[in-house]
Amino acid sequence: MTPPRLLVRGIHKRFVDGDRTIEVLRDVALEAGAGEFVSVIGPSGCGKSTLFNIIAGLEDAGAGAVHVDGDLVTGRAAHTEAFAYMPQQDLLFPWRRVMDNTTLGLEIRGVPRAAARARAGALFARFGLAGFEEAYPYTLSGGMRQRAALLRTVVQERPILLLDEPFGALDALTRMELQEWLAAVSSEFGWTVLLVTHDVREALLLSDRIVVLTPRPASVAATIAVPLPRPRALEVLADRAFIEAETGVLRALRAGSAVPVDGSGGGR
Amino acid sequence: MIRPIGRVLPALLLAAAILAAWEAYTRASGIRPQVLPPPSRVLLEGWAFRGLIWSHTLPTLGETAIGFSLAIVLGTAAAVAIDFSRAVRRALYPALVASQAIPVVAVAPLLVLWFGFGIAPKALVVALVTFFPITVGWVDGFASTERAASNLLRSMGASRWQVFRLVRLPGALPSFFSGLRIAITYAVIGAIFAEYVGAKRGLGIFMQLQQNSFRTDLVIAAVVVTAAISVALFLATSALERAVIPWHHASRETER
Repeated sequence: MTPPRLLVRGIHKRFVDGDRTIEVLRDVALEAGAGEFVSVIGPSGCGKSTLFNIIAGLEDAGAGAVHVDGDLVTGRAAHTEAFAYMPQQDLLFPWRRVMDNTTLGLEIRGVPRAAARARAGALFARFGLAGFEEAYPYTLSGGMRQRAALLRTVVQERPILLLDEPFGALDALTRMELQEWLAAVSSEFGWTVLLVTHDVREALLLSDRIVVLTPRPASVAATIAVPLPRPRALEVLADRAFIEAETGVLRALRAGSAVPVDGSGGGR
Repeated sequence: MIRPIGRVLPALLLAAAILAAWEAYTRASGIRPQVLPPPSRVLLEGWAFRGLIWSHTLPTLGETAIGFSLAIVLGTAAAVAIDFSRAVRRALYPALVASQAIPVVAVAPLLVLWFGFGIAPKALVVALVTFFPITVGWVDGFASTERAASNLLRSMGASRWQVFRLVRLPGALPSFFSGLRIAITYAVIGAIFAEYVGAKRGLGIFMQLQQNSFRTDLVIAAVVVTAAISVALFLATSALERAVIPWHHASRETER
């Protein structure tokens, strides 16, 4: 049996703040097969981003292991090479043109400039950025900036994409457009994606499976499969299987929550 | 966008009004020109002595250029060292702040004593008064780098040097130029001050000599030249900034 593309087991994390110890993650485990789209959803401040940084190799876990294609990568120099990471803000550098922003990861790896530009350039049309190669980021709309940031992520051709609330800062309409677009493009390219979000519908629209986390210290409350073919368009929102999955996710979120879920409460 | 002439018009009108009032006062009061010469006399005498003033301006410009270049090199080196090492920051920062508390009045004669009447003490005074804003500009600029941006680069496998070169350095340029613009306005004053203490040539020593022979008109003419140099250098710095970091102004203007 082939091992899953991504296998995360027994992640624990504590922060020491003065004489207080804050437990953030408690025995978190998840996995994603090649080409699978898995979302991690949880209440605000539950430690989603910490979990992501640990998986990406940016932070050390107190305990636990990350395996990629059966190999243990935790604590190895090769750790970051398994992942392409897209943070919450687009972080396009204002002093670089869009093309030079998207080739940043390749430049760091020492890919020759012409080759890097060719690789990124081949994706511009599919990412709706054709004609903006030599533009500066400030001339782009919010949705375009986010697509440029995603292009910068995928062009690195790492086995697994880590997307940390990529649409969180967008207006509702643009966000929906981009969700539909990402659904299509991720199936088309067969990406293996781990997405952090607090938007239940976003997770349902995009994912094969949804990992629901409890409030801090976060552990896995439930893993819910979305039994609908991908890519999905917005029409599935009315589908019976979709609504059932949505109910399941909301129930799992509420079960782990100390306060009633009523849609209000503090934002991020 | 207002046309250039419209933008400088208020400044020109104000200057003209002040000069007119000054001229009218000196004529009406009959005040001796050794005490307060009318601007017309400053202009005419300044023009008559233009060759002499120019020959004293060149050394001042040279000292300013050498001292300011020295400040940029030292300030940048200090800032990079501070950014890379916490120990260097702890060691250097107090010394940098203390260096700004040194009264130049007291130190300039000592520098002349140590380095003679040549160009060295003047360049050092210029460097002393200008490197601090340059260093602070860089250090603040480096520190303003978002942690998320460093994380993004680390996730791409960037080394510490690559993070510095690709994010921290370009991101610090706007802050560096702010420091540079402050520094350049001190630079000429620093050179002239050092010349006052002891020099063979230069606008500072020129002013002192003319003062001693009661040529107040030529003192004021030299002051005007000094001010003109400072303004020119400031404008040149701003122009350089726009050429080096065009993205900065463009992105700021769209955000407004």
